[in-house]
Amino acid sequence: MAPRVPKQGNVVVAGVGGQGVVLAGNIIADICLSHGLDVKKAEVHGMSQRGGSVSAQVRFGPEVHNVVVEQGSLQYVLGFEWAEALRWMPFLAPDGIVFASSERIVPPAAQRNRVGGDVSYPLEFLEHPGLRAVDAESLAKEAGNPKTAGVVLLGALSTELGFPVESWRDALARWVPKKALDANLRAFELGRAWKQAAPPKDLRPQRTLPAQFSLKLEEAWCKGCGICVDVCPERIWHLDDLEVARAATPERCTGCRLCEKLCPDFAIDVVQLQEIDLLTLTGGGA
Amino acid sequence: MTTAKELLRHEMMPHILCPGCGHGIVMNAMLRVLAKRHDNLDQVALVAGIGCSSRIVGYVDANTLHTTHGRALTFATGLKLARPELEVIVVTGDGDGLGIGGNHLIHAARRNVDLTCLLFNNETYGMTGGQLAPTTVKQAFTTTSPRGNTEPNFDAAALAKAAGASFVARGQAYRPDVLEEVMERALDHRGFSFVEVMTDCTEYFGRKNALGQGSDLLFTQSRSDQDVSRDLADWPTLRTPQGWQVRETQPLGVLHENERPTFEESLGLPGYSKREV
Amino acid sequence: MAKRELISGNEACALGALASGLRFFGGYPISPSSEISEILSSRLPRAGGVFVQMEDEMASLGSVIGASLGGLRAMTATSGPGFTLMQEHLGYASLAEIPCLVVDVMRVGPSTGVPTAPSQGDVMQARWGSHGDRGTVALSPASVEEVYNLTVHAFNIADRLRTPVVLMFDEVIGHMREGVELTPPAPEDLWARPRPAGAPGPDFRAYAPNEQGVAQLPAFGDGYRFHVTGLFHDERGYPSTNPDLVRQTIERLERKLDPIPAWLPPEKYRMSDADFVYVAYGAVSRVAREAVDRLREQGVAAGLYRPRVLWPVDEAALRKDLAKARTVVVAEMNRGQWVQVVAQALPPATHVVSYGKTGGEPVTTDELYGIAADLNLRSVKSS
Ligand SMILES: Cc1ncc(C[n+]2csc(CCOP(=O)(O)OP(=O)(O)O)c2C)c(N)n1
Ligand code: SF4
Ligand code: SF4
Ligand code: SF4
Ligand SMILES: [Mg+2]
Repeated sequence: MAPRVPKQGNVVVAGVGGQGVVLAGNIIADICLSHGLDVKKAEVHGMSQRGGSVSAQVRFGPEVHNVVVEQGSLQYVLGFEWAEALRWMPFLAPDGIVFASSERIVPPAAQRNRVGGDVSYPLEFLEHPGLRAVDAESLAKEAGNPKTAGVVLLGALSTELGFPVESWRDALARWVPKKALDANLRAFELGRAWKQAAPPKDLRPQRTLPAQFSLKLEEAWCKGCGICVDVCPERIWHLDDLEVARAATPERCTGCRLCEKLCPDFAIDVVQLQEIDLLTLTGGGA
Repeated sequence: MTTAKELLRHEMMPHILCPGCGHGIVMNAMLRVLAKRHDNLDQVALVAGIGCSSRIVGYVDANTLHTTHGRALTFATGLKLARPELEVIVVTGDGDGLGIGGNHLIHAARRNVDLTCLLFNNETYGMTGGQLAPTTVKQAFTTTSPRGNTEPNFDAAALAKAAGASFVARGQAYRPDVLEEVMERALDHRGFSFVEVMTDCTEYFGRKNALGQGSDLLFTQSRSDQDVSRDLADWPTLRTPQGWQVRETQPLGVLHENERPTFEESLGLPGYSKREV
Repeated sequence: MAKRELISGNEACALGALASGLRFFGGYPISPSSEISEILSSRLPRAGGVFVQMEDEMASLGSVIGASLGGLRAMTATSGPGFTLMQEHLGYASLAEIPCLVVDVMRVGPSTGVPTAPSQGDVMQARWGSHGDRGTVALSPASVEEVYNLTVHAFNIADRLRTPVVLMFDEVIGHMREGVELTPPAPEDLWARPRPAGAPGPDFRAYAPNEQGVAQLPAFGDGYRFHVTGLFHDERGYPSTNPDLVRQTIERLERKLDPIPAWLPPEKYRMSDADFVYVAYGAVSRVAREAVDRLREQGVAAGLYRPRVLWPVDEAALRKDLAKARTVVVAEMNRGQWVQVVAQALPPATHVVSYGKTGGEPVTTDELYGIAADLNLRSVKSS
């Protein structure tokens, strides 16, 4: 049964710098073009370095003017990073689908446009029927190249979006460097197989565990430089009268560890009280 | 798993660095990397010169050697050749490694001794009170350039590469994850690995150039595309005799990598194979 | 077993080092010491050691200290200008108690001076060249065979007392060839470093001195983790500015060297009844010996006192040894350096004369004999 070529649609690829988000967007756009569709692609970059938010929006159809996806109309999200995927949930159409890598990348200090952790997202996001968590990292490793995690997601998408599978393979061959092509094709197939192996309801996160962290301070080591105060995205720290750091609202900690990593004096320990293993949240799949 | 904190000599803490000194952040990243690689540091030697940056080795529960100003690489070369199985890391400052010790840097790079050299570049001689360093950018104020620096500065990474370092990378205190990654790759690399780490002296360089202290100074390392949207008044600026200038950020990440025989291999040292990479 | 061979002082130094178990050499070329590097560059790797030509003398001694901390017997060789550059690291090795050997084949200075001509101008540099107060060790051989033997002793002293040792001889000794029979040291004649006291762990103290006042550092990589620094430090090696600790450390580091003069007593030639004594070391002592013989023929009760250890000085022993002397001529190839030691040690009644020759020409027997005449010694005149 030849897959039907969609008439129109949109996809957002979301991730962080260095994950190949832009490339994945290009591949999708290229496939659309090769089937005679009009395509518009918008990119939002943070940093060229690893870790900043990056997204690519692809809209296609017989004729497309607006490049930007409207709230409530988004059909597919490929989330190369868990938190970045969740960021697009408000845009999702009621029947929209999110393939999100369960990998979480802690934002480096520069990425003040990113918040770490997932507890700041409303629970509805996690309960959205279209959310599918994929252990793309492991599948990519299985494919022989950890950098192909994004292509695993493309494989999963290919089973939903339509277009003949050869179009996807051809596009990969056009965009991926020759020496990496084999691994990318394997990753693509693994992504397809993962999607086809499990019925959609099993692909959803089954329960959510709130992340819990406790913040420990080595008072005698704190020199009151105030760095933790300014870097914490949740504004948890402040300096007391003696210029010692204090956590006012530790329960809001998302575990991004920025404070711990940027404290020059080793004064902060962010202790994870509970393993949040997103893989336990994913049913089915490979 | 070992944590960075567990690798400290707790009886020595807190360390001597000023509040908010960037060196502490770099040290923190270094220990996280070491904690990932080792349960304990029995087989790791940290060799440092003289300067605030070099002082950090004394707080690490490893084989630590605090040598003379500028000469850490020479001690490290002897130690590494005597004990090829050790992972030897050299901690040096910009004054230490590029001023008084510049000659040793180029020769260690040329020989391709299997050392990892972390150069803490805070653009000044912190320990002696914030004087002009070979890395101080033009026009910057220091205690010995009261009218703004007129000398051009070294590009440490380019220098190391030209001298033959087989691995060259640059990191920043401000981006600890990038820093960890380049440090890990530097340690994995067989041969002379050079990592220039941009860090800041809050006590002198930050003050003298009105870059602020603590996090303000740290954030001046953040100039990047994403900041373009910010109000210009918010940009990290350096006070110069001609007014205010944006603080430039050099490219980060691995800048150069190649495989060539290490000095140990050329000498045919037997213990060398003992170190698994 | 050993057969007579014609070899030079520099060669003997290299051979003595190999016989001592040398395993690391880091050096920088300089006349008149270069042959030591050249020989070791080919022979040391064959003996399982490492030879590196470093980029300068600071680097040379730095690498030697690093290798020594790795547990190897390590050395470098140089001459005056390079010796000057090594002073900071000599001070470092003293305070951090890292054994190492520096050979200084002396030439005429200051500065580039006369690179190929002999001198004994570095005697005071060996004592006071590095800043601060520190005890120093300098040995001075006077023959090819003695270069060999003192090289072995130098390593022994360095290891047992955990100190840098300087083996210094003038260019004449370095380049002089003699037919010699060298006797390699028996294994029991090679002294080991003090063993670390205690097991690895939080209570381990690398710098806790033994009864001889010597720190007991293990090698890096032996499973102890400890700190080594050129800052004054406590028994764990951690920096300290405590004035009592600093003072005590300076005193201990100097005192631990006290046994050395007794281990290598001076050569006393025809000294039992001598009232006219030459004090000389290195090449000068060889001509002084001839001058003594000539004076004895004249009926003068002459003798030669030849120190083999220039630093440290056992003043009491020196005073005792020279108690009978009424006139002491200290002959050196410099403007009078070790003479200051002698003058300070001897009572005012003893007539101490400095014969200091510079210019790069060796001292001759005639000159030394002539001094005796100039001093109007009765018995010389009467002949
Ligand atoms: C031979 C010598 N010269 C000068 C000094 C004084 N001194 C100590 S630290 C230092 C500068 C250190 O600068 P850098 O390496 O950049 O380290 P920082 O303190 O900035 O981290 C100087 C000049 C010395 N200790 N030894
Ligand atoms: S960053 Fe560290 S030293 Fe600075 S205020 Fe916070 S806890 Fe204290
Ligand atoms: S307290 Fe630390 S770990 Fe928690 S959110 Fe703030 S910066 Fe992140
Ligand atoms: S003087 Fe500067 S470099 Fe030194 S500890 Fe203070 S802030 Fe850091
Ligand atoms: Mg500096």
